[in-house]
Amino acid sequence: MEPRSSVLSLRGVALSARQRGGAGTVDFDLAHREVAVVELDEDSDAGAFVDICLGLVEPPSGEVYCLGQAWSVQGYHDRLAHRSRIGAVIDSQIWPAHMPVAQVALAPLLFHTAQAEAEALAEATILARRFGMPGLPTAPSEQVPLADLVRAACVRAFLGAPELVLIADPALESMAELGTPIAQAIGAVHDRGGAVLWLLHAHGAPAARYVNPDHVWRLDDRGLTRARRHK
Amino acid sequence: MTLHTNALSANGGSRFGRLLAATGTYVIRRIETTLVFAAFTATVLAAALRRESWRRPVRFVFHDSLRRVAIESAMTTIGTGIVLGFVLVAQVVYWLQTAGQSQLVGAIVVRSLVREIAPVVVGFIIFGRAGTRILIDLGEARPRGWLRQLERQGIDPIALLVMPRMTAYAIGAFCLSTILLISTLVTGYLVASVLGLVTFPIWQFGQNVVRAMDFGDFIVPPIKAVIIGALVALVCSATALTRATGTWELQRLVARGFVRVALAILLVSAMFDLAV
Repeated sequence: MEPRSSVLSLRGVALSARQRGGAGTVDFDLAHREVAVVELDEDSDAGAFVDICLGLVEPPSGEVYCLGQAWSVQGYHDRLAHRSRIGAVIDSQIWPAHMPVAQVALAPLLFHTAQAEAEALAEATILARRFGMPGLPTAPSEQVPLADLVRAACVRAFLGAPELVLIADPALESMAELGTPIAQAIGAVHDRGGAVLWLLHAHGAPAARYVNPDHVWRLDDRGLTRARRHK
Repeated sequence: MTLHTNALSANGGSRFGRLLAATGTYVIRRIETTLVFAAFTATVLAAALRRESWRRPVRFVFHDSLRRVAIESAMTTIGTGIVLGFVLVAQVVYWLQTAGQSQLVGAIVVRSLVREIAPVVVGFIIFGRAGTRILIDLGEARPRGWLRQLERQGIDPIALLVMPRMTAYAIGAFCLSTILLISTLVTGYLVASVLGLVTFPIWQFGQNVVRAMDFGDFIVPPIKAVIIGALVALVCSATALTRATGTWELQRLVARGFVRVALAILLVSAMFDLAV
């Protein structure tokens, strides 16, 4: 598949320096309207993989294309603007302590678009209800339970119709009650022509049980290999 | 004799060499830190001048910071002005009265208060009331990982966290300097008047001060205050954001930030004295 026509494309990407130029490099394509699950082994660093996909970290070798453009040819501000089309549920327990969770969750949408604040808040409230909250928490993160922080992270990721959603969050995986809403949110991205990549830390994660991926991969020190889904 | 001389040279030379190397390393590290800070400042200034930097979350942080600096610190500034009025203005009036040089009140007040004391004192007030907040809030950005989270969402951390604070602190410093000057002069006059040191009315006192000011005194002190305010925000932000995981407890961060802010304020003040 031509990398510029896919939503996310990795070509000969080494995830660490020791994988450079040899076995263990990753070749991966995620097309529009596709959902892919990558099952990680214990030693795999999901955060590093996600940061490479997001263009935050340059891989030791290879090229990453996201939404038709290579990260390597983009400047710093172009990359920031490009990431506005990507949602991510990663490290959902990490929030700035001095700002209300609602303000932080709405920040990406208000930063990147001209959408009215009231409209953005209404859209976020609808999403929050789907994920089991009456609305976005208005307290600072230290006063919000971890489960609600995970839900708020999901709202932030799916807010504003992203074209690509990356999920790599062990806390989310264990929340069985989010199985249906996350599957619905992923379905909405799929229907809009977007794509979702979910990096699973735990086999048979409860939150992912209703997701029917188009591709299942396994990531270990040998690289990315096709796998059968563990349920 | 030759061997003895060579042995002496080897021991002394190596000690001296080590001392030289250590001094050089220290100086080079400080120069690198200064250059990195200069680059950081230039980046923030460039962001402030870009129209697209001023997005809604950025404007929210700007308004919040301006409220914290200019409004919440106003009472502290007035209080400081009252104390300064007692200590400085009343003393100046008393001793000039004693020396029979009352006509110099305006000149002394302008040179000491307007040009020197007000911008520096305001810088320390801003650090105490708001700069420490930057150190605590942003000091967790890298160790906790939320700086990386902002970048993952495509939000420029400089534009959101540093630039609006720098701008707000600069404007706030100008406002607080004005408040400090007025409260100091009014208090000083009232104290001197109650003690019978002055018999002329307050507007004449004000006129004396204004007449003692030249054109530069209406330009340079405000610019000095603005630069000091901006520097407080920049130094605190740079100190907080360079805190990596596992280094410096938060208490040490505040102490380190205070020392750096104090040095920056005094350095700016000295540079203005030399240049103007």
